[in-house]
Amino acid sequence: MKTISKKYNKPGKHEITIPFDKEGQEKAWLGVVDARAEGEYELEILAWHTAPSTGGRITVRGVVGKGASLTVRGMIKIEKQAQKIDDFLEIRILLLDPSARATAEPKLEIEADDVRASHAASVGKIDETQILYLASRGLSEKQAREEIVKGFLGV
Amino acid sequence: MLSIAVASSGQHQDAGAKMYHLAPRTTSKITSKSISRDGGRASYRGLVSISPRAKEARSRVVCDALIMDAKSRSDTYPTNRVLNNEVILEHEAYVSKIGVEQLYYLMSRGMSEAEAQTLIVRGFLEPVVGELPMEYAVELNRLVKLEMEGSVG
Repeated sequence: MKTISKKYNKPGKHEITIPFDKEGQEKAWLGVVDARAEGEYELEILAWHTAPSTGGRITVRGVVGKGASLTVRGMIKIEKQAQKIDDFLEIRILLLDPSARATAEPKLEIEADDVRASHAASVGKIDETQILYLASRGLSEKQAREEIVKGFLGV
Repeated sequence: MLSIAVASSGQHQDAGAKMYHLAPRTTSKITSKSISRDGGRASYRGLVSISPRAKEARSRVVCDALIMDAKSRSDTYPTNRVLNNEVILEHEAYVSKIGVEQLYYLMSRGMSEAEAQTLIVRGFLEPVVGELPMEYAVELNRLVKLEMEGSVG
């Protein structure tokens, strides 16, 4: 499955629809939100299954910095005629500063019955033990944080 | 917070829970199970809000849905709002129908289809039922059995 990657690093609202309208279609979609600059970021994703036997893997990763807020709304919508669907939506958000704010809304709307649809969301901060480990290897705290963010965003 | 919702014909169950974390070091857990059948629609609508003051708060939300037939539908609308950064918040949801393989397996072991269905539904509800006081759990198990008996999968 080929992954479609998208990057968002400017404040504002971004709306994305990922259609699954051909039978047997499979798509992997990765959205990376870099909200380290101040501002309000909004990402709205709709994975819309109108054809049967379609599969999706939707992943959103975001980092939120000082004075920034990030809202991610992800919806998996499965229409009645779209049976045999397998979709997974994942939202992972890392808060880098005490003033960072995040809202994650992973939603499902399912009218078919022969489906496997699941989602997961987590919001948290950088694990201090990871920073300690990197610091023990000679990185400064700042470098360690940067490396962890890089690894998290996969860039 | 534990909840079970069953939506049958003509019903739209819109249930869920709201958790507001206002103080530091608070924890919460929401477990919501819903079943939709006979054209019913079960929705989970939830909110976890963690205020700027609630440092080191932890929250976990699990909402699973079971769809019994092609006429029914299921939705989840959770909102997770985090307003400070020292928080661990997890959310999981899963929607599926009763697996035909699961049914066949149980039937191959001598169960009728209705019995097999009841067993699967009970297994699905187990995490909630397991935390109820004994008397209530017994009642609920009976209720599930009664509910299921009248239905043809």
